[in-house]
Amino acid sequence: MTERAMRAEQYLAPETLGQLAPFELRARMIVEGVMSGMHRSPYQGLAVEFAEHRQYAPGDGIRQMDWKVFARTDKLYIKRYVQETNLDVVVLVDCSNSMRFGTLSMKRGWGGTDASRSNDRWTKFDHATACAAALAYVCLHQGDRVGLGLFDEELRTQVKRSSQRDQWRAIVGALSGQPVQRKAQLGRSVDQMLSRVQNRALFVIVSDFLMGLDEIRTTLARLTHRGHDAMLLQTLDRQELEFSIDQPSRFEDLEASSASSDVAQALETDPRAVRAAYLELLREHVDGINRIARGLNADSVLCDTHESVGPVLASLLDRRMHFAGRRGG
Amino acid sequence: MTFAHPALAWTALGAVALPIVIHLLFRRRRVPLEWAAMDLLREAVRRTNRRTKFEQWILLVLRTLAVLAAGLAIAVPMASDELGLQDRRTTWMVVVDNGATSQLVTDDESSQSQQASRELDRLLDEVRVALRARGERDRVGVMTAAARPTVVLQPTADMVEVERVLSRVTASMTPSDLEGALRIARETLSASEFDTEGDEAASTRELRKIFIASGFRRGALGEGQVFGQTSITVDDTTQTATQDEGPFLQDSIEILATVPASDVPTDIRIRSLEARMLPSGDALAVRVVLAREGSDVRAEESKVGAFADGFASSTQRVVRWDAGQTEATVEFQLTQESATARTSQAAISNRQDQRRAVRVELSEDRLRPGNNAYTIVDVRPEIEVGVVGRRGSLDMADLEKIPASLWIARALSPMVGGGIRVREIDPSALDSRALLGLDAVILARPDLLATTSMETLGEFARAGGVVVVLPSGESLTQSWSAELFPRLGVGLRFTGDVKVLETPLRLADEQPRTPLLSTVRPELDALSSPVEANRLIECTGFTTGEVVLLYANGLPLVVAQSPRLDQQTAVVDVTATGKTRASGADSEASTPNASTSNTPTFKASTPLDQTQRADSKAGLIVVFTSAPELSWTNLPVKPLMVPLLQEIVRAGLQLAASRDEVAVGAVIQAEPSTTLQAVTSPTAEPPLGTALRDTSSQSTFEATVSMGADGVALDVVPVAGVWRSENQLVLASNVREDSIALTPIAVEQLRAAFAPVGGITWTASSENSNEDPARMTTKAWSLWSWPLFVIALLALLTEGVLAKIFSHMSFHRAGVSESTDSRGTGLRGTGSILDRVRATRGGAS
Repeated sequence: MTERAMRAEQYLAPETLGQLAPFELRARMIVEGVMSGMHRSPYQGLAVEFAEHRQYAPGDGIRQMDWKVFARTDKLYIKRYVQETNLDVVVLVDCSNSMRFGTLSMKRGWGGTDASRSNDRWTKFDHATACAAALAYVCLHQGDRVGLGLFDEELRTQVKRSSQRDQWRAIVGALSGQPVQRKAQLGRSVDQMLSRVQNRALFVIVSDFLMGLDEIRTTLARLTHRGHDAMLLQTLDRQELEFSIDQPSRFEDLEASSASSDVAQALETDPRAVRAAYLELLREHVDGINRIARGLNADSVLCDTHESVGPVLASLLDRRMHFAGRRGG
Repeated sequence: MTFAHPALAWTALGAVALPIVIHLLFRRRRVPLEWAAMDLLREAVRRTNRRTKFEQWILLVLRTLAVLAAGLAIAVPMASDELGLQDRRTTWMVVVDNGATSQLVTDDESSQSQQASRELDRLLDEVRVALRARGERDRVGVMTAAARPTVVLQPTADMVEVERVLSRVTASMTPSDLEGALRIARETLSASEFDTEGDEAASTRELRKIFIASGFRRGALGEGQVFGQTSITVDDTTQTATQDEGPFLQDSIEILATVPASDVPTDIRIRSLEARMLPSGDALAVRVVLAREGSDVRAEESKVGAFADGFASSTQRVVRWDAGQTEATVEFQLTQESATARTSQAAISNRQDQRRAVRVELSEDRLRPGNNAYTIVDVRPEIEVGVVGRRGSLDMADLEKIPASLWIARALSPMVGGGIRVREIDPSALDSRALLGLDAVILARPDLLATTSMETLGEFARAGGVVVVLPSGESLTQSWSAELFPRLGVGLRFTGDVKVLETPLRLADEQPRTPLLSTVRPELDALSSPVEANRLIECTGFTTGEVVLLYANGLPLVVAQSPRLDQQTAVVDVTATGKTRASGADSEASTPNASTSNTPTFKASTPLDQTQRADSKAGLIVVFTSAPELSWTNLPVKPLMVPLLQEIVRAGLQLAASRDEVAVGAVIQAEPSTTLQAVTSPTAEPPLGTALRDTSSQSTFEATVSMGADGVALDVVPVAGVWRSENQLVLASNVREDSIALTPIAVEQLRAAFAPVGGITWTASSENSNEDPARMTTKAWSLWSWPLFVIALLALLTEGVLAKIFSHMSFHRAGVSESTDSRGTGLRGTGSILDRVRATRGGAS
């Protein structure tokens, strides 16, 4: 890997991002990483494709001027790229209590979100917000209109779609200040967002998707039937993925609420005894999500919060390109 | 099933709770952990719950099994058939040691009852506790071990009868005879085998046990005694002795016993009692030697009193013991009462035979036997001595011609009223009439005696008379000795001719201690020093203890020997190798130290082996090796002559009288079909000694000993006291000091003693007789222990293997990276969820 690419990888590594606070600084680091990657194009998703020439009109930037064509024809043409295609991207981020889970340690007091500030760990929410921020930046950079929604039991925070210059800052601001609490109600939250999105958009849902498959299926179906495209980014902590706890423990539900009708029942068990069964169930769940996504022509990505956000971004952007191509832009 | 160490068995059961407690403790220590994917986890737990619980139960069972099996193995389980308590029928023979030491009063200061608890009571309680462990079909017999051991109850299953018999066992004064008791117990067990009707399998289930309840004090066991090896049978006709094999060597009889006593309480007893009339004839000198035994002998006082019928009782003497002092001597002088003054005490002797019984009483302490002692004393006012010799004249000009008879007559009666009357007897006129009324005879010219006269003298001696034999001064050969001594019933012999010494031989500077000269003992050495002899004749057939006066070269001047009661009695000397050598009249013993005796002796000495004639007043034979004539020795003109002759006569008669004493527990011989009756000290309690107390009678129970048709007593002498018969025989019996020794026998010695009979198992004593005793066996293992240990080991191994399997540590952790660096270095694992993460890089369509 080249030095630049390594630096980009460092920028986007959770260990790095986790050490940055406030969130704005972290977001800036993400941008740096993204931009570094764009220059060297290590990620296919960041590559821009030449679409066509168009004649120069006063007011166009001279940066896109195709000087080779001018040399041959003495005519001024500018290059038009795919990114110039305008898309609507809606990023929905799960901010329920389950997203508080994390096992990667950070420096005390360096947490950039509500979740990490409380437990000094790189949580799923941190990972989700990093992905969301990075994606928003790239899309905005390519002229898309990007909107944001933060949901738990319902849509809590919304940043309306825009392609303005300050849109990313607004998105970053919403992500950094959002409290993480309550249980997730995906269907209801997506419905709320759908009521505000009329034209076709790419919905990127960032969550741990630790909910019933039926809810996921119905929600995704509603999205796709309305003509939207969807992408599911399942964010899970490595401990949830490996279940490598080796001592008997008392497991307490993160999403249990004393005020609700749910009874917070701790579960005492020896993880070693149930590990195989747990992983099997997790595998079935993830496979279920993938099947649902494929069946509805959506996509799903599973990411480990202990790993870099870079690969995730790449897949996201690749999906964006695919969506843009299908639109025939 | 029971256990050698029940406490350990209970501990093992309690330890079973340990794995459970540990499990519960660790449950409480489970680390709390917030978890997001609770639904998945709950479902996983639900799916594995059943299997997990099953696995945990298996591990718990294996752990408790290991702990339990190991603990029970250490507790030494003993199967019922090993103890013979349940499945097998067992015949018990309970041997209660009710010998003299069982009268020891326990140190219970709170007891105010006259019937204070005795060691016998403790032993009987131990028996009752031990019998609780018997099986329902077991039979129990009871016997007592005090001489003579007696089976008081044949083996029976009637436990009510057993208890009734046990409650009637009383403490005896006789010594313990455990050797005899074991033999009888074995014979009783052999004779009472269960009728298995030829069923070999049933016969193998029969067990036999002997339970010995004894304090195992010194009085119960002879020094160096070993059971099973001391059976000796003497054939009087062939003069041979045969040694039987141990009675238990071929039999499988288990021997159990109470734990030996460990305390040595302080006890004062009468060691010896001597009494003699003073020369004045009106007073009785009594000399008492007291002994004290104990582990902590402190300063204390005790009181001693002396009594004799016809004599005024002495005031009690207070004996002050210093700390550590173990012996004390007390002397009394009892003055004779007038003929009309009699004591209110029961007559203890018949005055007509000139004998009196003397009793000494010690203040009561924790052990009664030994606190009373008895002896017979000859109280005749005047002694008549016959001197057999030719009358001679006292020619002061030629002293060397004065015969020995004159010198002796002078020495015996140096003054008028000296208490000894001398009667001269011509040797040719010596017959029973001539000896009538005489107490002692001195043979100055034995060479002139006819054979009939010699036989008459023999009868005289066996009747209790004292015969002093002097070498004939007239000749240098003393061939008459070969005829005379055998007829007198002694083994003494003159050998060779009279030796004429060139250099006079003096008496030894230190003379032996002998009862004959005890009165003059303080002055004896000084009196002996000027005495010398230039003629003497050598003598054989005596023991060192029979020498009265000794020459400087070790040869005896005077020897005293009691005549044999029965000329045909063999002298048996059993050597350590078991060979026997019988010597009788033809004894080849030629040295002064030849061990010959007129009573059978056995290596393992017990009082039962001593049979003593009680109707024969055995006299005394005193032999001089130098004639008391100046041609032989200067003794006649030395100060020793008078006290020597007078003491020989007086003390000789006293010794003859004192032989009418037997040890408690001995078997006596007397006139056939007669009965001896004990006249005990006038105390409130009836005399003890019988094996079973007659509870049906309210009257005083006197001890009696009856003679069989052969003249041998049907039972041993049961008590200390004075015995009389219809013939006015007077006999004194005393407790032997070694039979009441309280020092416990060392456990190691007991083990060695019982080793030839298969060893012994101790049962621990219990202070609370209502509780079952903890059995302590010499075994530290049983056949059950090894299998239990193997089970424990297998359980532990299985638990370890299963715990590992159940913990799934051998399962490959799906998705676990062997490298903690996840930054693009590659994730390994096949089919893991994280592989999907890697696969999604670059996007999936």
